[in-house]
Amino acid sequence: MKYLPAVITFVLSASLVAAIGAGAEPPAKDKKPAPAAPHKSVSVAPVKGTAVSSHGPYEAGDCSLCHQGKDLKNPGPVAGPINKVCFSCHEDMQDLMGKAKVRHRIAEEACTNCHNPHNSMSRKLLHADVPTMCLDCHANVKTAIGASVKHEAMTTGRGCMNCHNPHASNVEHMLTRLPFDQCVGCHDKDDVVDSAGKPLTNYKKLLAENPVHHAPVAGKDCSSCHQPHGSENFRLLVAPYPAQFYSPFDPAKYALCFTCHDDKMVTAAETTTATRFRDGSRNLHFVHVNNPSRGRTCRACHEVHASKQPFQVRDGVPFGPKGWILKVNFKANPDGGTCDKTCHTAKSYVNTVKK
Amino acid sequence: MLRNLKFLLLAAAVAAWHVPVDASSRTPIGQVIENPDLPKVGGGKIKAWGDATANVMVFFRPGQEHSQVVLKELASLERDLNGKSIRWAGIVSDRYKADEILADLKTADAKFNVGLDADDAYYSSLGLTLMPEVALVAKNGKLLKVIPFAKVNYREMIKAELRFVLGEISEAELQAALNPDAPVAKAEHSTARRHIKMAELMLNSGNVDKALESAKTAVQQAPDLAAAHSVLGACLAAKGDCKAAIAAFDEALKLDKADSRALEGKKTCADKAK
Repeated sequence: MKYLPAVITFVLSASLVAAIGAGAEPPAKDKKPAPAAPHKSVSVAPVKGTAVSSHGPYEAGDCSLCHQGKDLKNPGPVAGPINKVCFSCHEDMQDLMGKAKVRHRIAEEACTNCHNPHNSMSRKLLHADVPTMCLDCHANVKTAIGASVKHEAMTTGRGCMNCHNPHASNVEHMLTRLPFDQCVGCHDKDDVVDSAGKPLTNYKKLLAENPVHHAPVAGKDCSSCHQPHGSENFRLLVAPYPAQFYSPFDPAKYALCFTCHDDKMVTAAETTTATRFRDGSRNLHFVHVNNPSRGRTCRACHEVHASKQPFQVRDGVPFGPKGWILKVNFKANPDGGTCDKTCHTAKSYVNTVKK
Repeated sequence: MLRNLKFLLLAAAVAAWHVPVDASSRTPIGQVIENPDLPKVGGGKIKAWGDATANVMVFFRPGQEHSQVVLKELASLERDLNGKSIRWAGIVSDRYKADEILADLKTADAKFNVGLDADDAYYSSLGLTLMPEVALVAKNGKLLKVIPFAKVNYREMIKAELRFVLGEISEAELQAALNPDAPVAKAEHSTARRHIKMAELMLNSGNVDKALESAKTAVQQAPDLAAAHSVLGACLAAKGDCKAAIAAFDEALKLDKADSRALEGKKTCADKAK
């Protein structure tokens, strides 16, 4: 109770400062709207019990370093706008927030949205540990984490901060690096396994050995296809995609591919524009994939990340229970291509249209 | 049909050329591309690209989530880069109705014209396979870049590419924008600097003992930082220990001859000694 007046003053001044701050710097026209006021229930009062972290000025017992008064029982309002007070010592953070292209809105609003300026039961004076702290606002991420397919990066190491900088960044979504750089930062070894213990691809090696990269890979955007927080689809995919070599064709199963590729590529039996994998106007994607009982999935012929051959055509496809590799022997021609001694005898296609 | 054939022949010729291609496009970068007259949504006709220094063609699909994101980002970029020599145009398959297209443009607050691509013939002739994609074309019709959709930093990416085409940024600056650095929160001696700041604040508030503790910590953490020694000197001087203070000021001046606090503190101590 002895801190109650101070807490009330602090909270009121924090709210006032947040309001003034918002008024002083109107959001840019194209900025996303601010989230709902964060951490309404969070108290900036000193915590009772044994604190895990404690702020230097509070430890020093000199309230006037941050407040207008010195009286421990009634230190009065904060000496200025919250972040200005914080930045008077934390210059490095001011520097970071000043030069970064993307800033965490609630950090811009007030450091005290996430940090207790006195002491805390969590590290770094946070109101709660990460990820609890983050998920308090980011409910959509909380939902994703609860999905059936988990990403270990969410629960190991620094949690959310494995990929995000909670203060500011030069990449959208507060990522410390572009998604590809983030992902390959871990998926660059041969010993990374999924939750079932199945080895996961060493992407650094795969991409170095296979120069034809899928556009999202080339664009360093793994998140176009993968949901890094958690997903209901295998391999953390953002939408359904058949996990097997054969699958009865159903557009819903290919939702992932059709988020970027026009489904006409597979659904039009005849076309002169939807794909170049056609013999005249006969769509060979349709022939291979659009089969109601035993359609070949995209993976049957294409490497989804990178390949040595053009159009991400695979060198070979795994065949039989032991995964024997059946060579595709694809050759691209200026007006089509050939697959030789593979699932079928040599077949060529010419994608020019005969009149 | 004749136009389709023309595009197909062009595409076949393009495919035969052994030149480096963009990851997502089979039309070689640097090649002059066709500039067909397309029926304009809302009436009339438009050229696919114009005579601006940078021509942006966005191929999109009404109702598609990614397309809606891209339209919003480009609309915002168009406002941001208003007044520069950039021409913006959307290109949509003619299988979509004008109402659907206009509704998406309205949602995105996009003001640019949209041309209708008959049976995706133009899109196909460029060898595009993804949707949405942004193609940048020079004034002379050379294809400069094809940029497929990305969920992260797409706007910044397009902006940097456009500024590069306009000659506003260098190749190095473009690469820096496309591959942004991780921000570094910790400046050199950041913790020591915090202690220096705290010592200064405590000194100002008259809490000399605590200020001295903080200053000592700063010196321990960053013995090569002049400010740490000079604030220690100031604390010692405030405690009345001018001898030790002068030693600290001298240490600061060894590291930085212009350290004003050390110069001033030393003078004050000397004056007191008189």
